[in-house]
Amino acid sequence: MTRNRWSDMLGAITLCAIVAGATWFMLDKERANRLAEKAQIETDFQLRVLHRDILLRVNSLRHIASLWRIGDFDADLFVSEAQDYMAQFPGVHAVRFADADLRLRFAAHRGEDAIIPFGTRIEELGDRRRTASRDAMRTGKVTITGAVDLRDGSGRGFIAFIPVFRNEEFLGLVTLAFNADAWKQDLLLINDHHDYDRNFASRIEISGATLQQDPEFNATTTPTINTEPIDLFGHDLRVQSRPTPNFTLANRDISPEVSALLLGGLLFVGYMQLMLLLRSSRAEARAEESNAKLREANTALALEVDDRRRAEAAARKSQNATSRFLTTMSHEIRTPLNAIMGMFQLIEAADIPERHRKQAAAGYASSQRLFRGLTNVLEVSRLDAGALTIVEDTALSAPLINGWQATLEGMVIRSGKPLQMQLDLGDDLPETIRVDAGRVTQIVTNLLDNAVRFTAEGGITLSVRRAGRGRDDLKIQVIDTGKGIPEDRKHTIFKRFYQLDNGLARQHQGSGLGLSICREIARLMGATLTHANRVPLDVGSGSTFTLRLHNVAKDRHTSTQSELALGEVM
Amino acid sequence: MKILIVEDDLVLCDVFSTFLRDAGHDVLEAHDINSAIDRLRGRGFDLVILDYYLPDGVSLPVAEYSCVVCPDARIILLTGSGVFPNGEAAILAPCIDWTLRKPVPLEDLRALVEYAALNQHRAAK
Repeated sequence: MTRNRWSDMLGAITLCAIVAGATWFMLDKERANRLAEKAQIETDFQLRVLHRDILLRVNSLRHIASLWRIGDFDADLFVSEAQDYMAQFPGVHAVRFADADLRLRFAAHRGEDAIIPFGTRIEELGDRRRTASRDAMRTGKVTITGAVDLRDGSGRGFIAFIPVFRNEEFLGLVTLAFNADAWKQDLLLINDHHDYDRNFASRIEISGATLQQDPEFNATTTPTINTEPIDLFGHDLRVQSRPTPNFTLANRDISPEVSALLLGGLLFVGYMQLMLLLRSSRAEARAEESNAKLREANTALALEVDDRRRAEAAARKSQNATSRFLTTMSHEIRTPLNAIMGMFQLIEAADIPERHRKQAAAGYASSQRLFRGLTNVLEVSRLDAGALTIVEDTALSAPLINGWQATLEGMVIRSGKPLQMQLDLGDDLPETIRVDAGRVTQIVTNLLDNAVRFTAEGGITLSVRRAGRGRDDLKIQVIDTGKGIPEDRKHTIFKRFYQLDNGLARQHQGSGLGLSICREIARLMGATLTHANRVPLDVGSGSTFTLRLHNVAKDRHTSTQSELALGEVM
Repeated sequence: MKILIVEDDLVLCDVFSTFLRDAGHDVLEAHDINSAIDRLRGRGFDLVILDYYLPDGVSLPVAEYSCVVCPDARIILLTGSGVFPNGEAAILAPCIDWTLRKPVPLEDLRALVEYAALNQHRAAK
């Protein structure tokens, strides 16, 4: 994977480099062409400038020549005019006059002395001068010698001959000696064209002979640029130039390099982008794949959850059905039982013999026992089926306690036993408690019922107090003066189907389910139900059952004392 | 006192009516919702003893009808199952005065009836 990526990268870099190199090659060629073209243009321009200048000078001299045409020969006039002329054109070295025999007559010089003595024939000065002067004399046109060494030894130059005629009569020649070096220097200054000199090493030729050559011309190795020859009084004037490093520098152009780099970079970036795109799309595909897997798993999970939920619903349904069944059973049993008990009571109250009255009373008691037993069995079934639910709600404590008290009173009255009743309430009972009032009442009623049933004489105390570290618990106690529970049997009283001993069982018959139900309900509520014998620990000293409800008395308002019948004694 | 007993169990109904007649009250019986409403119409009852479950439904409509027809009648609701286990009776059935859970001992019933009669006399005065 990594190696692959590296080779990919290497390939990309190579490709980019090749493309960039090719681009640079083409652009470089084009740049060289452009440079050469530019050099050509400059050189051509230079040639034209030289040519024009020479024409200008020669033609200007014609004006001096014309002096002879109109008036008499005047040496002084000629010299002064020539001096003026030379002052104007620094490249001109000397202006001389030769008569009709081509002998030098007078001259204006730039130097101190006249190098060539007056009276010297031009023909003696050299072949080229002789040819040119004769041509001028013969044709009546301006001629030049071509490149020659100047007589004063100041360097190369050329001589121009301008014939002077008056009415077809040849009067003589005005000669113009040109120093090419000085001329060129001057010319460059005049034309404000310094750069040319710096950028090119050049050579000026007239008819193939060097007129002027820059010292560095031979040293420069760049390709020579030739101009087309241009006609100068019958001679070919041409310029050769070689661009110096200065020219390259002045026309420095790094656009090929920049372009190549840019192109290569762009290509590389594009390639990388493409790779990234590819990779991301590949990753996307992979993510999509795993996503699909996940979705599948999710669907499976959802299905499973659905199944579970359905199973749960079915279970709840069956639980509800059990609950409904038990409720209905309870109702179905209670109505006929009520009828039976009522009948016995009616018979008991009727005007019948004592024997029958006792039988009716026994029947009534049995039906009561039957009812209690059935109720307990139903309650146990409900507990076992999980159909017994705890619904916590906020309840006012005062009516609840008053209700318990009334229940106790009713029980005691109905039992016909000489029992004292006592209500023992804490000072700071909360106004409201958060409990399932019905279930708490069921437990308390059961405890009270037990207390009344198992206490032959003495008293029963119902005590309600706050308890616990935060005073948030509620402690409900039912204290009797009954038989109590022997230590060795204490752990069995909350078990199902157990009663203390057969003798007592016969006396107080029941299925032994009451306390176990109470404890289980208490556990469902998160409360505790405990039992303790009153000290001293022997049978007969009485029992104390304590129901402790946890965290139900959060209310800090206390019930007003008037609401509760305090310590009422019967 | 004029009492209407609405109870579908004929034996229990008979027990209650015998007991209350013996106690000197004027007792009428009904065994379902329709006959109970028939009986209630046009007669001024002082007390209605009403079983919760009747063959043609729950008896709360009878209680409401009674409230309209005989506003003076007190209503004792008898239940076999623990309806209104958390004391919502006052909210769900405001016209019910007392709720007794079966089995109802006759002495309890007598005590309640006498209590109702006492209040009624007081109101009449």
